[in-house]
Amino acid sequence: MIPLEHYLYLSGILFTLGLCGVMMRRNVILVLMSVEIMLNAANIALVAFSKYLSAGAAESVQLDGQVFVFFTIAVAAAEAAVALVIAMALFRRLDTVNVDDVANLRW
Amino acid sequence: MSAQGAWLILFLPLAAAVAIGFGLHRYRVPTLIVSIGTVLVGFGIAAFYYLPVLLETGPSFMVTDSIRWVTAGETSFSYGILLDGLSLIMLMVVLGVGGLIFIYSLGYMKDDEGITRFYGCLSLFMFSMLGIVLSNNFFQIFIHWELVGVSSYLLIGYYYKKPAASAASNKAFLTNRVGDFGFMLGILMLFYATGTANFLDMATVIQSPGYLDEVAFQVGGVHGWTLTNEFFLWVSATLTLMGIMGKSAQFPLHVWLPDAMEGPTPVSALIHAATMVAAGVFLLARVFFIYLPSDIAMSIVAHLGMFTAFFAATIATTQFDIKRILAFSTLSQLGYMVMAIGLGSTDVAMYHLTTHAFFKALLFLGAGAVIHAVHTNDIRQMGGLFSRMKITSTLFLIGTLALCGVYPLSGFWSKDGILHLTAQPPAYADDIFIRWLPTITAVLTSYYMFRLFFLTFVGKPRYHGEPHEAPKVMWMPMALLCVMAIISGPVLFTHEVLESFRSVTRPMEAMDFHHIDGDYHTILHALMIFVIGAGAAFVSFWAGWVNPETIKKMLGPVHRLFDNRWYIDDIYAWIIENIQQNFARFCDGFDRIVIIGCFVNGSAWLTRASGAVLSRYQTGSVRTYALLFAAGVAALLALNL
Repeated sequence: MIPLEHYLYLSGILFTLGLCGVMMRRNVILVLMSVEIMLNAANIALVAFSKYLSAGAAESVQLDGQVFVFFTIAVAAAEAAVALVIAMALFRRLDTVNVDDVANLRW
Repeated sequence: MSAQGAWLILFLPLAAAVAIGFGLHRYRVPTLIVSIGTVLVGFGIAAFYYLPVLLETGPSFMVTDSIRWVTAGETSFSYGILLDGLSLIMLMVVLGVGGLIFIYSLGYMKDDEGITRFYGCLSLFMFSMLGIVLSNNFFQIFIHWELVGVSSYLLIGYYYKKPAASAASNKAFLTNRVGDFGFMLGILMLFYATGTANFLDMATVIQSPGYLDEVAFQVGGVHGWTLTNEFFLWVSATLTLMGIMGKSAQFPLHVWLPDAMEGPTPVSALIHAATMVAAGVFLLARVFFIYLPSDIAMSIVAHLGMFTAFFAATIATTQFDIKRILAFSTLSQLGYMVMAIGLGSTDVAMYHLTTHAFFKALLFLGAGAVIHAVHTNDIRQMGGLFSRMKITSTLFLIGTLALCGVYPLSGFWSKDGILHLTAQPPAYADDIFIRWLPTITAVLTSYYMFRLFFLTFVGKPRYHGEPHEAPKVMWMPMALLCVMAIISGPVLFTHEVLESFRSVTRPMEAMDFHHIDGDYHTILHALMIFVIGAGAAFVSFWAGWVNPETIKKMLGPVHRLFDNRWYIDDIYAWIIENIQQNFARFCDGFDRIVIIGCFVNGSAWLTRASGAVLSRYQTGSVRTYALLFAAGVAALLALNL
């Protein structure tokens, strides 16, 4: 059995990659993809915890983490739909997908 | 006995006032009919429905009714009727004298274009005044107390284009506010101490055995400060007295009444002689039970009335405005009534109130007829009017004699009832002033009234134009008042009748009515007072044996003191100018610098400044926000770990 730490390392690496992408990428599509990576990093951690909490205890299977993941996936799908529509509207209106060009709401 | 009649008496004038206010004032004749009609109907109900029953049943007569008005938690305030002997005699005076004056005004105000407004205000006043008379609790009486203040304000300032009139109405209103503040505190304290505002319940509570020694208020444990109900009661009684000082124009809140003479003369007769100013005396009689347990409170009331009576009489001897002389005379007579209550007899006070309402209203209406004829208030520009206005002069003379207390006119019986009290005052008020000043005041009364009479009606004519006798609509009410002033002695008010005109809340231990029996001793005493006073006026103002100017010079500073009304108005003016104004300036500065400068504008400045700094972080760049967001999450995590 693969130890829990390995999953958590993977999750941490993915999360960091995603965070870096959100902060550094200029293309709005890529920023959204980075957000999805961060969400999935969290999902991996949740599933891993769920698996390891239930290990060796046949009567008390802990499914909370896995249930959470379903919620996250559902919310992520909704979020992706809304976000992509915003990105499309942005492109139609301002003819760009570069987030640095979209800085009109400032002091 | 149903209370519906009383409700009708109370609300008919209000209905009239509302109707006149909302449109009826455009039509002259309907306005007059409605306004006068409601008063006459009210008088009819009081005289023919309630009065016979009262005379049959005697002092136990009582009609009550009450509707719950405001409920707050466990306390509730009601609006109700308490009709007993006391309120019935007051009703008869207010509606009877009021009705006559309403009719008289038809003649006096005939050529005035605002006559409908005048009658609207009169009806409003009627409602307010009847509310005081019929109230069954303190809160209701306070509301009506303020309402008569408002209607008095409207009527004093009736000639609102005249600066003096609007200034006088302001003065009356503000002076009354001072008194009413004390009155309100007194009511709240009484409510706290007895747990009720209803007169009957309050009387029961206060007269229950042992109540006076109970603890009303305690501060700071066993060794602290303990106040008994007795102490609480006399403080609240004294505060309540402030309201009475304001409305009944007792020293030192009397200053508004002489100025209130700027209003139309019928108003002076109705409000500022016969009814409203008597409300204070009526209230004293109504809540006598809060004064009686305390010798201090009783002594304050007695001395207040005694001083006001003397003080106003001295001023009246020096004035030249016919209505002002009568106003100071009213002050003086109100002082007599208050003093009588302070000496323990509400019966005599209410008796004097009744007879005074007749003859003082008569005198005012007579003065109104004179003013109507010669178009001035100054008695130096009158003189010799007797031959021109025989009816008015005769009626005025009878009113004057009644006021001076000449046997057998009504003034003799009521006033000598009061003087009789001062001859054997109760122990708490037994001093040289109570024993002698009222008698001296009676001499002064005869003096200034005959000075007024001689200067106005006899001697050399000094008037301009062609004065004419008052029309019938004016002298008929005067004649009726005159009849009342003559017969309201023991003919009308026998011992039994007077005893039935008592408040049901009157304490058992209150002094019984002592009727003047009109023996030679009393008559001679009264006649002596009259002859000294009137004789002094005769020799100086009619016969001319003594020049008044010489006496003025002889008296010197004393005359100046009286002539300047004891400088009371000047003292008030000084206080307002130097203390009140400076305090107001200080408050103004405090408001501008601290409240507005620091708090209001300061908080706005702080918000703007912090906004200017923080808005720099609103870059609009999504990646900055992401970075700050991540940093924030990291910081939170770091803090929690």
